[in-house]
Amino acid sequence: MIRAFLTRSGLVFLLAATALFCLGPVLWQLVTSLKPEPELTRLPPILPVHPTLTHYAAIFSGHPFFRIILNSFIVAATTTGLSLGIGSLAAFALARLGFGGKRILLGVALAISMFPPISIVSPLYLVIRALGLRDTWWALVVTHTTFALPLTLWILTSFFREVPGELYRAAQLDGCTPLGAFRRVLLPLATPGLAAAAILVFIFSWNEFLFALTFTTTEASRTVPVGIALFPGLHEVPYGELAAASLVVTVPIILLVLFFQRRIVEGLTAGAVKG
Amino acid sequence: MAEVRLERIEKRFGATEVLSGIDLTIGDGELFTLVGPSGCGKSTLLHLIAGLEEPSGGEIYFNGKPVSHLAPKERDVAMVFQSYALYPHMSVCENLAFPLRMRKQPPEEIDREVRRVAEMLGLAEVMARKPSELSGGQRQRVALGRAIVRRPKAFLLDEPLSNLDAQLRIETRAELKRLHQRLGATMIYVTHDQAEAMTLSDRMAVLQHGKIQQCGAPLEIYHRPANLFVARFIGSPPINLLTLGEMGANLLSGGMLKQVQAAARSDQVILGVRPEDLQVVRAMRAAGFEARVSLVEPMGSETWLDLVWGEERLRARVAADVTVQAGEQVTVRFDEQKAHFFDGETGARLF
Repeated sequence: MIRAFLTRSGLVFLLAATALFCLGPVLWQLVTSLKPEPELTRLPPILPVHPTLTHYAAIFSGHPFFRIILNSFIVAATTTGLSLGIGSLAAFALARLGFGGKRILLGVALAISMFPPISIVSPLYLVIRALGLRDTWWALVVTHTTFALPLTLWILTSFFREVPGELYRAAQLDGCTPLGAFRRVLLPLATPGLAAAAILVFIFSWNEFLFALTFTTTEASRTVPVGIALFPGLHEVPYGELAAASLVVTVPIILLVLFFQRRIVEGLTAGAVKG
Repeated sequence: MAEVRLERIEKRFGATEVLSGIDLTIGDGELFTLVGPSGCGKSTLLHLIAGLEEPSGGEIYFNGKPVSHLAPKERDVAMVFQSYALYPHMSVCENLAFPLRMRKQPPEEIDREVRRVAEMLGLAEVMARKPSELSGGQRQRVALGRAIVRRPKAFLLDEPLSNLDAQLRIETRAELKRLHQRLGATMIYVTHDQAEAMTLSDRMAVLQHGKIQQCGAPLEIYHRPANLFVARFIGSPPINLLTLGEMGANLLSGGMLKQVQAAARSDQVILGVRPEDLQVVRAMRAAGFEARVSLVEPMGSETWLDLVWGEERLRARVAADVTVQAGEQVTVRFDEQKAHFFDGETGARLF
């Protein structure tokens, strides 16, 4: 009885501690974003005495923040679409079609994703400039896709491998071409994998900073992380606006994860793959 | 419907030879079984016929036309898989309609055919369900239905009954045989269960190590096994095998012994007697040999006996009204005309 109580309270404590550790910074951002300027650099008060929304208004009036969010959204969505499109076809080939050197191919893909971005950012810059893609969405879409593809490939290959081989063979005998069997049978059954890959790629692209900083110069293509990083002026750091902007750009990510998470869980609980 | 002919089929996976020198003709409308222990290559052979694998050598003909270069969808064969391979994200109705939709048949025709098959297999009530909501037997019938629905040239069945429980398996086996009679289609059936092969087939081929050991009607194979492997594999309880040494030589008449010795190509000869060909009598008589009963297993319709004779153990099937006790001494006889003789080294049948 006492033992059970101790175990239970210990568990609750651990959970609370973890939650505080993860959510603490976010809560602090929220608090900061609501404090008027004079309260910002002072402690106490911990909580805002005169809560205000001026910082939120400021980020949308003083900066082209809408445009920056739109840039980020287009870059991340296109990257996700391209990664899933190319990645799922490649993963299908790796999982189901017979050809040599599969392991090497997957190994090389993994190795590429291990490159530290900083080591190749300058050559990539030259390539982007030569292609005339500087300060466009495409500069980021292309680089983000290159870096997101290996991950997508690994996730999807393992998901396609989990779909029983007999289903793929049955589809072929029922009159599908290999590509038809992929589209009608493998792809629907690997939806949880697609959703997982989509979330990871989208978040990666949304948060990516180094390439975005290097390849963009104006708000024509600047993305959120760079946009926020450029808030501070020469003489002052607008903590309130930084906090407000950070919170605003986190919302789409949270919505996305919640939406796809439902799909993932649905996919897992359908559980019909096993006979 | 089609006649399927295999000519010198070879299949290698890397360095391992899975099938070699397979020559086989499966008649139009025949129910043909490929039977053998696991790893004998029978499923691979079925995949070759389906077009899921390419042969390393030889050619496959459907109605005299070579098909080895054709993709599965162009061969127009249907397959029932061991795991049923139902599409989990589609309802029963969509599963049944899938092969027809892939062939771009008009919707009203698809509808009619699906309903016909569902009716035939008793699936009408579960049409809207997903495979995960079906019982094992129902899934099995959906898998069959998906094969039947488009009237293919040939049906390929890969151990379709092995996931069913014992009772259902025997029922479905009979159902399958009725279905074959009704459709009159060419069916190629793969199983490791010799009883299934015996009861179902018009003809069957026994495979081991990627080679056909014997091909023929079930009873033909049962009564004249071509070698030791086939003799052992077909028949339950299994055949009794005795090395024909000095002790065994006493079992045979002088004439038979001469015939065996004349046919033998090596020193060792193995005698095979089916359990039902052994006669067990309680009276101690000169004819036959004496053995001790070590185990009595009444089956109801008959009784199985384990006998010990010197070093050898024998299985006998006797009528249910033969009442013997374990430990009893009995006299055992057999008709030497019904005995089988095999070469001890090659395992080949002597005559």
